[in-house]
Amino acid sequence: MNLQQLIKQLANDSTESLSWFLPEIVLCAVIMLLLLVRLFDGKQRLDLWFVAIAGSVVSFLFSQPWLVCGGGVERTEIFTGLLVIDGFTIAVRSIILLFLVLFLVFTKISGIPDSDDSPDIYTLVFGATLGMCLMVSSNHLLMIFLAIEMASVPSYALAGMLKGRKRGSEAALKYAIYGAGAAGVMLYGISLLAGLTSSAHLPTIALQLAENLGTMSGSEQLVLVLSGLLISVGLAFKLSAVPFHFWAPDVFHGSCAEVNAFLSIASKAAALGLLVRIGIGVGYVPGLEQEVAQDVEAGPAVVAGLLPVAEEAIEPIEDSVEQEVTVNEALQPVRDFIGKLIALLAMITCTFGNLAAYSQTNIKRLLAYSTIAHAGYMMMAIAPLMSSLGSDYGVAEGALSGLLLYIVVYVFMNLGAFAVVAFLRNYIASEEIADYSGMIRSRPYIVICLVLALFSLVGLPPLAGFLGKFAVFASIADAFRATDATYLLVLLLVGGVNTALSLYYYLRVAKIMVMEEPAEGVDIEQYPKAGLEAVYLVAITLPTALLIFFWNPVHAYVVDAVKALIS
Amino acid sequence: MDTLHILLGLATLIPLGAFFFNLTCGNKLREAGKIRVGAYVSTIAIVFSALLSFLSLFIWLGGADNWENLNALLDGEHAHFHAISGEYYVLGEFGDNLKLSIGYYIDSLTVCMFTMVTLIATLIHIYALKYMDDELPAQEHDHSHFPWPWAGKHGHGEHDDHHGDDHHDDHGHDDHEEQGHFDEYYVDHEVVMEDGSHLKRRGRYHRFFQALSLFCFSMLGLVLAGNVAMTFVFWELVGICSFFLIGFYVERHSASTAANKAFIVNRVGDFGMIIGLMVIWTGFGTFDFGDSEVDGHKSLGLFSQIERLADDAHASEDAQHADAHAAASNSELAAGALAFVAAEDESHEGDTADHDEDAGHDESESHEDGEHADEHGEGHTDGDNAESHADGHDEGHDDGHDHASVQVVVPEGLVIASAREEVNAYMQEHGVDQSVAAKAVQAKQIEEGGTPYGYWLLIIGGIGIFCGCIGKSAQFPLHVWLPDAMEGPTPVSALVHSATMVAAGVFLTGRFFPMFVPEVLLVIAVVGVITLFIAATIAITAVDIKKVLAYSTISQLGYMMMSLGLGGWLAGLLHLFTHAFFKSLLFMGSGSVIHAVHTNDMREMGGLYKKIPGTCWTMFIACLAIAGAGIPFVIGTSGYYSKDAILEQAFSFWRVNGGIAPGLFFFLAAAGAAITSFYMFRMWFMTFVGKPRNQERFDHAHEYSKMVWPLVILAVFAVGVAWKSVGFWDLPFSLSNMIEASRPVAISHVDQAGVISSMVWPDEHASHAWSIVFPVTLLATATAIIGFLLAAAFYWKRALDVSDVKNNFESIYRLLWNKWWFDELYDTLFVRPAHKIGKFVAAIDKCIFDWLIDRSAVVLRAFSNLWNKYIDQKAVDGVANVIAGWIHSLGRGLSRVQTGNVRQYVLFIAIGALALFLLITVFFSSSIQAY
Repeated sequence: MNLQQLIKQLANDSTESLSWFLPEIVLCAVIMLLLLVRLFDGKQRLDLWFVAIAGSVVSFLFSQPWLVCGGGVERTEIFTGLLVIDGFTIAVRSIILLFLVLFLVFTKISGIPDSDDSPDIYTLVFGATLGMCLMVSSNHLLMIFLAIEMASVPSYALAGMLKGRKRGSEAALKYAIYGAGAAGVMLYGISLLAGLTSSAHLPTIALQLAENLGTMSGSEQLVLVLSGLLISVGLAFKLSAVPFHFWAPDVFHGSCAEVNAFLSIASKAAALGLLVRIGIGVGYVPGLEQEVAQDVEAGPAVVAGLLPVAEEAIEPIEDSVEQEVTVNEALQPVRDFIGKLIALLAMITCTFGNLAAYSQTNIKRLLAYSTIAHAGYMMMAIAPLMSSLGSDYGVAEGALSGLLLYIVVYVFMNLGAFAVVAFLRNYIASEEIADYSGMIRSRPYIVICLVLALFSLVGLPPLAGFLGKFAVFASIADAFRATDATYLLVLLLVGGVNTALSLYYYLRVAKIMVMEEPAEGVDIEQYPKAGLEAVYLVAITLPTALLIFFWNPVHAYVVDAVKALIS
Repeated sequence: MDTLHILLGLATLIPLGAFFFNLTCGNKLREAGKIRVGAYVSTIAIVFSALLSFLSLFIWLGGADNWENLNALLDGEHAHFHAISGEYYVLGEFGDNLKLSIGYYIDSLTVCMFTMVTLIATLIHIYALKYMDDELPAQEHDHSHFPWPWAGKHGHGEHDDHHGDDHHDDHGHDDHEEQGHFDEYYVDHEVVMEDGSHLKRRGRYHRFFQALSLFCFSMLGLVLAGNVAMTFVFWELVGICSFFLIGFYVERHSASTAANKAFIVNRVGDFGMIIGLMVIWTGFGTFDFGDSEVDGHKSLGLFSQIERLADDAHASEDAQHADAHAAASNSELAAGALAFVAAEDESHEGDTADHDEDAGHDESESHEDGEHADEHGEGHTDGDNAESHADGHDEGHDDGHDHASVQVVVPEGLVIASAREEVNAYMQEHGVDQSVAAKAVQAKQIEEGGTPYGYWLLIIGGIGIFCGCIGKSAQFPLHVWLPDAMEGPTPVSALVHSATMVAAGVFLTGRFFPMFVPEVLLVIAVVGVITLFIAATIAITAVDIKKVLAYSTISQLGYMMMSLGLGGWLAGLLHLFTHAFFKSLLFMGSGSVIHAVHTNDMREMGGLYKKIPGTCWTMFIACLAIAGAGIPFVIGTSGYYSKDAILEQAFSFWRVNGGIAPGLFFFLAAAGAAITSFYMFRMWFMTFVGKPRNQERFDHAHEYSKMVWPLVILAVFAVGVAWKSVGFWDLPFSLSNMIEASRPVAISHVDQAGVISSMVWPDEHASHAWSIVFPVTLLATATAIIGFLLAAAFYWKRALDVSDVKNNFESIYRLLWNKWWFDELYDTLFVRPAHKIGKFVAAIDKCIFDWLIDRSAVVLRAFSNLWNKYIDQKAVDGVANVIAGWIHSLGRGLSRVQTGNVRQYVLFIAIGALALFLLITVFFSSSIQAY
């Protein structure tokens, strides 16, 4: 192949890829537009919010969420395999962009950022969103790192959005430093993995692993495990999974509720998408039932090899016979490793988040721990996915669609909660839970919306949170039945106990707002009737209350979305 | 046609919307002084429903082939109409094919019912806007004519003659002054408070329309219902609406007890209905009327599942052979005997010799007739019968159809339910599945000459369903609630208790007709004829104008039931429609009268034609209609067509079956027709003709045009709704033709024969034979004229003296005056014993159980106090608090890691990764063994 051919091929590839890349292109265009308009001092004449909202809506439309219906999207690698488009990409990307639209409306109503800041802030928001869109579609180690940074760096600045507030700037700085540390660790892991498999393209890595896993030496396997761990650190940072969550409470406390909503929802959805991408990327090759020559002995040995300590415990199985094993069977140890690692992290994260939330007095800090716990719940879905991907597609599909459903639900309930916090801050200039006492008297609509959001976060039926949790837990139970792996049962139990634990601190807030007398000296003047806030809140809260009636179409949609990914 | 279910569904839901509007906004609007808004919303809602219904009617007429088919019907040809059935929403599915859904079943009957109900409801809404105005705040009242509303309105017929006067004298002018003080309030003169004053309450104008809207929704839903379960739900909904409306003046003792009575009596009927539903569910596995197709899976509805023997004469012949020759092979039996024919077609009389021998009649009489004669031990002139038979048959054959007597095939589910052991034994013996076994067992049973398995269940199911209809349509013996229901406001009586809800029982009987086996039909006919006669006789002596109409309603419903029971499907339903129009007209007219003179007692009226001429003449038209007046064979009022049709069917039934008992149906019905004519004109003469018997009331009487023009519209319908032709053009869309289009396929052009009873239910088409129509029409006209003349002689010309007759027939008079002592009978039989048992049980409860419970409660309290003190507070609470404390401090401890020190955080990345590595080690080494 000469250079000309190569260029021609590249050009072809790029033009074909661009049609799938339209949402991102629109985001880029909006960023450019926002920056350029400032140059020409156009913002006096034009509220840039309108540019932003128009851009986000167009971008959302270009993400074409309806394509997924009926499972009509084939897995397509674009830009020479850097990115991948399938139903899952489209669905998660659409969720993120839909959230962007809702978020922009939210900021407009709550009034932060003000019109002076808005071009900067929206530029940052769009930049971060672009990174998130790339995260859910990345198919290459380099792309993964770039996408994470693309999403993270604007977030650091966003955290310090409230200029001149000491706490905000401090939060931004902490976030940036912590993020840098995590990124470094992750980069190290990426380089180890790339070095081991001499590729950065995820499916290639998977093939490499499938071929070589059996023949790897103990030290190589140790490095493999380490690389996996280190990459997971970077992801855990984005997910605010314990023990890499330390930035979260401080950043959530320091920055305003709007940014909290953005960080806790969009960023988390993207990180989960990326987690799925990596997990499936290196642990499974879709549509490939090609056989590789491998030692039968390799099966247990590989797992043992992941841990040199336990190697002696494994007895070699009979004679090592050359036998045909498919790629996806060969990758089972990799999937088990990822599944167990994530399960472990999920359990710790969930439990820690719920317990630490107990003693919080600041609503944003409480919600920060709540989002940590929810990250744990969502990560739980990865374990059944990984454990049954090679053996039982139905269960794997259930797990992944459950995760997707949870994300959808989570968008609405968490956005609702943070929106209430922001609106109440505008009225009483406080974010302490104690100041919310007796709020139902003065602002019944807002309080009812918050209570609904909180109930939904607990997972009380018939609210949407219950459905999300149910889908995830059900897939864990299914996977346990299918594989009989004990850790899945433990995971299920931990999930259940945690749900019960979380009841306390969510309901405490509800109790304070509804049942306690208003504190002395707190202004309880009647909140003006049904303003834009109320409309917005109702629009956000209604889906959580009504999802149970539209369970079938939504469920059908998420199942369609994950079909192409794992068949 | 595809839009019909949407249009009709919408027509059903609009009144529901108005109901919710009144429910949520009614009181607020009253506070704001806009109490009329709710009423207007309800009225507009029903107007829209009516428009949609008319639109549906036109769409139906223009629907695929319907118009051609109607014209074909007119020419006496066979025409096939398709009912539209389907589901709006599936409520639940149980197993493979059992499901409950909100469905619809639309045929011409549905469309006609919709049109009729919404039309009458609209008129009544408009009428009530004026009629109910004393529920408005006082400044909107029209006080100019009579100072107190509703005074002297009689709750019961038993009170003494001067009751009304007393009322009036006592409160006449005080109220005038009181009104001034209580502008906002409605003063209920029927309710006396403890301190002797009258109850004053807020007006409930909107509440009335709220209940009326809910009623309209329920009634339309009942008509639209696509399955029996849904029917039952709406059935109960109309029941509760009726309860609300009868008890509208809830503070009046009579009204609240009447509401209770109506509700409780209806529960008795509904109990039977639930049993019927259970039998149907068991036997057919579905509640749907029509077939439905969901996701390509076709499920048969009740009407398709209930099989009758094919009306092909050869099939019946085959079956007879199977019957006669016991040695027929098994497979033949399975085929032939499932469609068993115990009765035979007259045209194949001679074929089966053994039957004739059984009957012991050598005349060429049918088996049925022969047995019949045996039963009654009475020889009838066989020759006559045979003749009439042949006659009827020839007529039947005119339209080119063989009239085979058909019988219902017992569905498999019921066979299995009633002969489970036999079926199981057969299954084990032959190793076949349940369905085949059921068929074989059934075939064997029939072959041996027994009653088919499950047939009794079919009868019970049918009677069960009919029990519901007895309650709702106030048939004997549950008719006692309807007269009391007249405690409700008159528009309610007009809409709910004459035109629509009480007709729902008839409607359901008609809708369910194919499901009724002949034995059930016999029960229906007997109940109907008893009802029509008893109620008609009671109406003769009633003096409360609304009670006359109430008993008349019961009697007319009895006509419809009897007609249905005798196989006169079209006649019964036609009478339902015509009755709805003239009876609502009569009720609204009586309302107008009551509104004018403020009493229900006809003895206080007289000569009112001068004061309220519009009401007078519209009511006269209604009286003509209900009496069935007409010029024989030329044209008549609507009642002329429907009542004659009923009498024709009764006559036809008599002619086919012969004997005294079948004849009683016809003669009682004919006598009832004469009585009907008599009491209706008695009412009219007493009210409008002669000298005023209470001058003061007469002087104050006044007519409101707002209330009269709905009467005029109804009068037009009462006259012309059943007309079959205009000039020389036979109307293809005449009412009877439209209803005919809905005739269930199973009973079309066939005679029906029972298994247990030996009667034959003649095909209704046979009753159009000239040899039937001619005498019956003349007789019916004669009865109407006799009734009219008698009434005129007694109450107009005074040629005969009423009190003379009263004294001469003292015992009969007392029987009728006391309404055959039904209330007293039920009081003694049921109410008192129930009270006694209740008291006894209460005594047991109080003396024994309460004592025991009290004692044990004391012991338990002492124990629980101790428990609380020592175990609960110390041990349980202690432990719980300690654990909660632990968790809380754990949480506090965990969040203490959050120091805010960024250097430490970054350090934690390293520590975390390391810890994770160690944890993974532990985690994995334990799971490796499992791997």
